[in-house]
Amino acid sequence: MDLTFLLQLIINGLVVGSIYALVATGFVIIYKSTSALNLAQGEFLMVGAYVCMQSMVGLKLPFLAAFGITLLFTALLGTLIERVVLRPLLGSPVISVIMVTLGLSGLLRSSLQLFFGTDTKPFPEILPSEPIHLGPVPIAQGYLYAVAGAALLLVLLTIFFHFSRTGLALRATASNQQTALSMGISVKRMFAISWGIAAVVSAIGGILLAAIRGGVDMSLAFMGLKVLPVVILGGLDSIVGAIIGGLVIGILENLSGGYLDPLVGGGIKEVVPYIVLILILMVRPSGLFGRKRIDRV
Amino acid sequence: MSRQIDNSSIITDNAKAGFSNDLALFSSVSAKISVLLVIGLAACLPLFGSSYILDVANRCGIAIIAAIGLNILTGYTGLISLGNAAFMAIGGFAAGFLAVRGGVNTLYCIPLAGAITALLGMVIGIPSLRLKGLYLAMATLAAHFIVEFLVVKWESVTGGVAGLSIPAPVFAGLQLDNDRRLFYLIYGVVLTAILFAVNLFRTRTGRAFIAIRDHETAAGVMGIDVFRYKLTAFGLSSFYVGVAGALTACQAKIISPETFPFSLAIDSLAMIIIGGMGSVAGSVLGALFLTVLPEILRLATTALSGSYPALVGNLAPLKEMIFSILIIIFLVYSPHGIVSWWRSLTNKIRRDRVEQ
Amino acid sequence: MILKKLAAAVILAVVAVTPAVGAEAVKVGGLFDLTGATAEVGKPFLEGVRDAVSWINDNGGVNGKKIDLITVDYGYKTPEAVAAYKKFVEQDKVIMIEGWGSGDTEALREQVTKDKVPYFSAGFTAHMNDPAKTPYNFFVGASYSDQVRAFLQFVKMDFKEKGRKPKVCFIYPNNGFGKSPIEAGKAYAKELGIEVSDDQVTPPTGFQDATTQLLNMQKQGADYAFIQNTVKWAAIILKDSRKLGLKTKFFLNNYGMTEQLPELAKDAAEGVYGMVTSAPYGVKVPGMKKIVDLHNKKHPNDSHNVFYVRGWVYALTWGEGLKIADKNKQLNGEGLKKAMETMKNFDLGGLVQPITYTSTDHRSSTKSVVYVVRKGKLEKVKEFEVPRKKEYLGL
Repeated sequence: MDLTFLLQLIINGLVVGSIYALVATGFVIIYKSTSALNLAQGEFLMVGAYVCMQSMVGLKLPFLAAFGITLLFTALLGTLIERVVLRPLLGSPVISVIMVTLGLSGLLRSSLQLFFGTDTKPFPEILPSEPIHLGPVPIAQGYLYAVAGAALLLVLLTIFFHFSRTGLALRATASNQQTALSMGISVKRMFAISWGIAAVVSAIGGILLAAIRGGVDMSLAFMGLKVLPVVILGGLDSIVGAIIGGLVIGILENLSGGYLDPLVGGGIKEVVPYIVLILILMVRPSGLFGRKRIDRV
Repeated sequence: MSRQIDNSSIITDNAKAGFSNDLALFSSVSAKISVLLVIGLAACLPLFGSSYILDVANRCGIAIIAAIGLNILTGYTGLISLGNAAFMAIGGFAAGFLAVRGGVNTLYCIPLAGAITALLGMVIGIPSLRLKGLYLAMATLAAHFIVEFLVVKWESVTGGVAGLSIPAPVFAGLQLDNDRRLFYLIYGVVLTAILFAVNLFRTRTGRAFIAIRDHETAAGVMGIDVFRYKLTAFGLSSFYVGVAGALTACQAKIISPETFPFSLAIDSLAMIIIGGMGSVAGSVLGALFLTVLPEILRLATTALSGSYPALVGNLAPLKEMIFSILIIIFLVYSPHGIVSWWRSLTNKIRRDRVEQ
Repeated sequence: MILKKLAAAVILAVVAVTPAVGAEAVKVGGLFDLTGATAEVGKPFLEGVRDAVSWINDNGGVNGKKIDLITVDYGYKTPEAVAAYKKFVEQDKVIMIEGWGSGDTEALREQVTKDKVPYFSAGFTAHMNDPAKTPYNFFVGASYSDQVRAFLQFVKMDFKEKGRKPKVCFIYPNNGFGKSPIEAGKAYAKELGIEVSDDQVTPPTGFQDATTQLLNMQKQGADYAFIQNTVKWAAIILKDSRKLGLKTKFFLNNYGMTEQLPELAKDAAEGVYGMVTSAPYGVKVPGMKKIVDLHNKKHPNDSHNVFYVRGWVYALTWGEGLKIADKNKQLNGEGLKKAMETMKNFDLGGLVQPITYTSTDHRSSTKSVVYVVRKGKLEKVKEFEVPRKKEYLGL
């Protein structure tokens, strides 16, 4: 019985963690290539969920078409934001960039709220809710699809970064802008592309989350802040770190929810990621897989 | 590749050459007179303002103190903090605890709360010695959620989710139990806070802050004890913010964990960015602007709600949208804040005079 | 030129801000949550209040005077509520306030007593029904505590297994609203011989997942669970429970049980029980006719639910109070309080249990109606009445 309990916690952690991993991947892609900390990542997720929901419910499109529209829309949105808001700030101090993304998050959130209102909108059922049994452990089928979807996407991303021209150019830009420039890569274009990809990846996370939950509302944006501990744990500039960090934080949250929350009367599950964040910053600010940065004078 | 962060590009220049220019805030006789006039007029506000106006005025005052506090840390010393709401919460609940459980006159709890917050701020600030830029931003963000958790859980001190009901401060036998009476207390503190901050940046300590912000390594080489001054900045800033939290407690009369949400920290940052980073006058202008603006929006939507009922429900997102757009516009087009408009305006007037 | 434009803008703004209301209006302040944590139940409530006020105004008003409802969205944030309250009382000079949540009601409790402003809240915390402590607070319907007591009565009746006691679990958010009935519920469970497992606490807002809480509940083997939360969060919990294949019978309070539940929780809502204190929209009771008529006239395409009806119930109740106060030539806060306390079995035609207030007891009723979701529709099960004991007052 107790082993089942543990297994269930871990499985749930992996599911939640895989969505963290997706959003964190978007976050890292932006940080790697533009060294901007995007605090509006959670809103990208929310935009994805809403656009998909609206295409299915409002335009009555089948899921796959709605999915395609969502990806297109968020890719455009990401690049547009980079072009209009982030590019003028190139070379600005860290606080300007942090603040501007906080401003962006407010702008996206309030626009969605004006457009859709605050009620929870039911998300069409695309994942079956009947659980299947793996031995003694019941698992919702939706969870399996979510994990599989996330894994597939991460594999695609890896292939993209290692074998496609644009992917290689992105990596070149991330590792050294000067060299990339001299190789004839348009660094500015790469910046725009990385914002586009980041928005798309988060949007997929948003669709998965909405499908699991069966509804979309403003509270989805909370995911954006949850992702910070993930990237600090994994390392701000490591995609592998984002994935592993996501899974670890997801599991850690669930274990603390399962074992610690009953002791303190709830609430610890939500702060554990932040305690981890502080501990990591004290011990190893570059995270598990991040590159150490050296400040040259 | 090293990415050297150039903080000075966003920050108003405030290290001045020579002492005569240091009095820039009161640079001419007319400026001095107008400042005195403003203070005089403001002092009369409780005589004719409605209680609602006074409520807004008092919230402005508290926002000014919190914004100056954050500016000392972020604008002047270059340490980014997303933990302003957490520090306000510490101040508020420290004052509340001392007043409710300790039976201390709430009036004395205000400076005590400031001191407690300063102490805790320095403890939380210790990691800042290792962390820079966005890492510190992350650490303070995490600190916010941890403080929030403790506030909810530590019921014996904070009253938990039910919160604390704060007894009114008593001054010379007078219960300061409404906004009219609190006005003088709050603006007394505001005035002290402004004067102290303006003077701070004429002292060795203040100049050290600015040197650390502009180039930490260089400051260290010049013989500035970076560790000590960073910690001092954390302490001073937290004192201000803690006092703001305690005054919030006096004004709101009842405080609960949701009195100090994370959005409050973002509001404070927005105030100093829109007002002007590294400028006391900027903190004041930003705090006034961002506190009064939502009230105007609220009045407008309430008045129009009769003919357009949908407006009421859209006030909050509308407000957030305007806030966010302002933040973005200021960062992109006017990174020196409102205060820089004022400066260029007065400079232009002066230049015009010289030309004549 | 620019100056002229500016002046024009300022004049426009001033004109826009000046309220255009006659001198004879009865001013009522309304605090609603349209954008916060409880917005999905707050919005229909406001619509109900607003429609009821226009219905009252079209049907004679308060003995000829029109009600002017001044609405503010406070986003479920207590500090915003306090600020809005000051404006209501000092600037708008309202007679009474239609409030909303447990948080704002609790925060303003002392202030409204001092200012003598009757405060009707849509939060049903039992703290507010003892006039010895909170003489100016009112709410219409059975308190959260009495709803939990009714739930426990249901458990006692429903549990058939021999040889052991039934076990219940309380699931609630960590805020004033969530905690409000728990103490009363535990005491009453003890009285009835029902076992209580560990509480499962969720964050007040923004949780996507209640799996760990449900797993812990399952570990302790609860037969019944009471969710003290609004419908959107209740739906998340129910869906997660279905994913885990739990056998526990779920009960919702009167902010969870609504026509929206099957929409949000889909098949996870089937067989879920809940408390209804004011009638679901469209049920066949005499009081519903005017609501449906107004709906057909004004917005025939909108869909309505139990919270919309609750908005009507509140406005009709204090509307009646205002009429009595006006007749007594005491159209002010104190007069309205006295008027409310003369109400005895005031009947709104089945929209809500008959309402009684006295100067020593502000429990309008102790009856709750249990409903269940069957095939996506709300179905009435049974009425439960909690004895009107003195020691339950304020708890």
